[in-house]
Amino acid sequence: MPATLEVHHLTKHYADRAILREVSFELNEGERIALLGPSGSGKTTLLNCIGGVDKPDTGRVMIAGQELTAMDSDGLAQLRRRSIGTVFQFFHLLTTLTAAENVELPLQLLGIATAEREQRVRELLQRVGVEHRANARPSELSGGEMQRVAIARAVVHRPALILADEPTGNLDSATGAVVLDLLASVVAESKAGLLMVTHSEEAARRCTRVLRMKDGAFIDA
Amino acid sequence: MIAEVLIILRRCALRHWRLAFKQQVVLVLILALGTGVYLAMRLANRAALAGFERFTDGVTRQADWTVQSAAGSLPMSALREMRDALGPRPLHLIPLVESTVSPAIVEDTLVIGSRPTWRLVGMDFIGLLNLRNDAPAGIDPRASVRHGVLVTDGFAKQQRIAVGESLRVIVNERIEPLTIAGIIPRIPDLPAPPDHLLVMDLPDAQRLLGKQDHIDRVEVLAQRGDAFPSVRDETGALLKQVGASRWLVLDREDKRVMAGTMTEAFRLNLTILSLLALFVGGYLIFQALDGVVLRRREEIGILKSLGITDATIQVVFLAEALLLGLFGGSVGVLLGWAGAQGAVLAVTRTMSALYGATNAQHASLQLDEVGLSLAIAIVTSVIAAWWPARMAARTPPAQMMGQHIAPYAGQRYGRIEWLGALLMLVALGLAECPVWRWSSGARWPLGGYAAAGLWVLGASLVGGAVLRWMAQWAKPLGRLSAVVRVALSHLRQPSVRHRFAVAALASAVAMTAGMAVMVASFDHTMRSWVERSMKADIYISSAGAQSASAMHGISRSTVDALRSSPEVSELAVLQATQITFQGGSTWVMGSEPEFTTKHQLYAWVVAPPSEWWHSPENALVNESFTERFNLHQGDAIELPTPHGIQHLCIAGIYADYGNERGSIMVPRERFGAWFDTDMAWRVALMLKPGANAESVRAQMEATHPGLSIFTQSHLRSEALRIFRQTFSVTYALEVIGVVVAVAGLGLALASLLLERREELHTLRSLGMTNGEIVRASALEGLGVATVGTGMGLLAGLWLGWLLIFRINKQCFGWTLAFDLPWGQLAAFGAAVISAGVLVAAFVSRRINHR
Repeated sequence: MPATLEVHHLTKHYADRAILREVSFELNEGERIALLGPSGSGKTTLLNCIGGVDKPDTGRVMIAGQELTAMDSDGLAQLRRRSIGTVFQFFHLLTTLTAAENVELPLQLLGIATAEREQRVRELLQRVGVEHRANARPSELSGGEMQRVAIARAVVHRPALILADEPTGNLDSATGAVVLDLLASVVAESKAGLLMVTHSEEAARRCTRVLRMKDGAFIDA
Repeated sequence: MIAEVLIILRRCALRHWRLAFKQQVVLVLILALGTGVYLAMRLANRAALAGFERFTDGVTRQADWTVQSAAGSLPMSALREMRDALGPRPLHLIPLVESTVSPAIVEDTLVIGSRPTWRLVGMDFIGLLNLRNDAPAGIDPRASVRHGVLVTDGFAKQQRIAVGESLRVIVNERIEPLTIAGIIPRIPDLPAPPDHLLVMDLPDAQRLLGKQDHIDRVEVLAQRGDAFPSVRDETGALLKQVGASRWLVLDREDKRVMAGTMTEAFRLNLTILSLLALFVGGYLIFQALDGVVLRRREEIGILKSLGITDATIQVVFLAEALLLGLFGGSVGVLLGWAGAQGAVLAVTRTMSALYGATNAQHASLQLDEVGLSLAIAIVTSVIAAWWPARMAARTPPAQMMGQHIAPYAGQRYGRIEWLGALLMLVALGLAECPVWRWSSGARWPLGGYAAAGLWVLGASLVGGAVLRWMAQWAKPLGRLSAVVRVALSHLRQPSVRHRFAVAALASAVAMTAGMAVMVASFDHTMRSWVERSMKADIYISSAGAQSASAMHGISRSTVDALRSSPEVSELAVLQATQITFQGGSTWVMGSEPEFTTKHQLYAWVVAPPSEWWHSPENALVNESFTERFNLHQGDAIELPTPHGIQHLCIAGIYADYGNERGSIMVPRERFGAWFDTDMAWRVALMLKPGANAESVRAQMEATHPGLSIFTQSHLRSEALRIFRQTFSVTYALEVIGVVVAVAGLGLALASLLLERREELHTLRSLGMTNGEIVRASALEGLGVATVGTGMGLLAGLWLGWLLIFRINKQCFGWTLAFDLPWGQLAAFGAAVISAGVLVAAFVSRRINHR
């Protein structure tokens, strides 16, 4: 059975500056990896290359046995649609959709029937504790509520891999802790792998493994 | 603050100009195009109008007073009377006769207006020589050979004719050879005489034009000097006192107003249409600058965090818009001047066909028009930049620099939507306002224009609400696919950019649809009228009559010759002359009522009593006359004639789409007695059964080369062609309006997508393909285009009604039948919506691929 995520010798340059240098690692089913490092160490670039929204110069990324670097733009979109869920620092909920509609969108992209979509959304909103806010728009939600909805959206289509970019970076510490616990438990339930970029040692402690980056490479992989 | 503004302008804003040079060039060109169209129309209008006003100024100089009869011409005895009354005052009295003439040979004689039209003016050459002291006329009395004419150098070059050579022209129904006796010299300090001016010695011109012992007017020039103002004023007063009701004494302003009034409605419409071009240019500038603010928001945020005030940021953007307006306006002036050279020919052709000979070939650049155009370009640009500049100034720096930009919520626009509905209600009220009447008979339908403006504006503002309602109503469709859901979600909460796009599209479509409804109604009415009023088999006029206003006649002997043709069963004559009635120019016509009644040639607006012509005071008037002079059936008219005032009563009102200046119709016998003429203006022939109209026409044309002879079908098609020609400029400007509105939709969507970059990123992260994102944007464009077009079409229907039953009625006095061009409107709507969707998809694809 292939690993959920395999990264082999990934390099990336912006102009002459090396952002990623021969980065390699694996993430297995149910594993939670925290990616720690100072600003400019290459964490977000690595996450973007894994998510298929940025292209590495060399190296390979495999998600659930599928190689990203060989895919065209539509293939990458299909892979993201089926196999990846993303949680952002600034939540990035679609402001014109309600909380429920935001969560429903990935299922709709997969062409899942309406009744099943509605049931899964209802269950998941209940699981993350915002079922009472299902019809609220993002502008009517608090930061914590928005991130709960974003977590629900990231796992609703049962992806193999969840990418989280500073998921608590825009929340106060108390709310951040609750969100981290929720993320960890939801991910555990879904058996997905989690790769989380964070500055927080507290967040890293909730993961099964920690990778530290500096100047585009792991320092204690 | 000024120093700060200059630093930011130089260090930031103008550097963006250099970095995005192509974009700036496009902005300058957009503004230049709007300014250019506006200026071209103004200059062309002015040049064509100058052809009516001052065509003899280059030979004499502008007269201080012009004396002319209110009806027909003045007897020569009137000139002696004036001289006696004025005594030894330092004055020059220049009697004139004038007419239009056309060359005898042209390629296509069956197209009305295809012959060039020249102004033949008879002047007293000896009298002109007396002007030499203060305005040397340079006229050579030796030119006073029989039928000798002086022409301009330009005319001689155009016609490739030299002094001593002969020129054949049509005068009434005769072909007369004129000899080029000399070239009109250019006189320093006087405007160049127009190239369509032919000058002839007065007695010779009187003989040629059949105006022996009569003159058309007297130009009175007071000698310049210390006493000039008092001599001029005294002269005017004396002339008015002596003339009493026999003649009119007009000063320069009166003449300008009379010439202007004649073409008032036509020019007003053109000016409004050209302002429309500028308006849509302003809209594009607005959209483009809005995009500029979005692209520079990070820089704006940095400047604010460095301590630059909101006011400075706003002023910088407005200053940038001012510079843009200055550049765009300057290029627009050049474009406008170049465009005017083309437009002047089209405007002159239409004015000539409708109102009489004006022969402007070139439009010169007028300083005041240049200044006005530049000012309008700058003001338009600054107004267009106001909202983007305000947005740049008011948005907090954190939001400017942050990744997450809050969208503009729709709820706060509720009041604007209500305001739109209110404006539409006010428009309904304004449509009922009476026309603004000037003393000269000119009418400005100010209430109608205001109603049209408010209606379109109101409909545009309401468009935002309709967009929201439509998206709300279509919300269940969101279940079908994520693409539909995302697109509809944006339309359910339309931002200000959505609203502007809907408003612009609705405005452009409403104006185009309104015009289409009006033109279709006009076309339908014209066709019915032409079929009803043009029932004779053959129509004849002088070949010199190249416009609806030309006064060439056909002599009695020629009419008798036509009547004696074996194929002719009936012949009817129409006589006509132009008079000044209540300060405005109008027509009097002499007809054969038995003929018109028998063949039911009139479409009655208010029918007269049967055999109305038996009562000597009864007259018919056309609808334009009643509207222009605010008269009704049963009202009295005091008709000025060379035999004094005739007291008439309006017996009936007929529809007449042939002239907008109005006409009074009396039986021919009375007309002949009052105006001392038996010359026919138009002749209609009914042929015997079996006669072939085309062969009769050809035969008559061969016998009478000075006549224009048309079969019924040809005249009908010519009438419709001239009518359609008058709308050609309108169509061009409407197309520009719609193209710009669709382009504006593209720019609006570009701004929306730029603003939603983060959302695009999120959608991609969720697994949306580029194709799906483009489809969502195209659907959004479809929604905006559908609502904009739908609102525009609906608003256009009422606008069409307003144009037909209020503005047109008040401007021209014509009652039109309402006709909806369903097919045309549906095709137009579909084309605009399709264009909107394609533009939206294109813009989305471009931005998505960046």
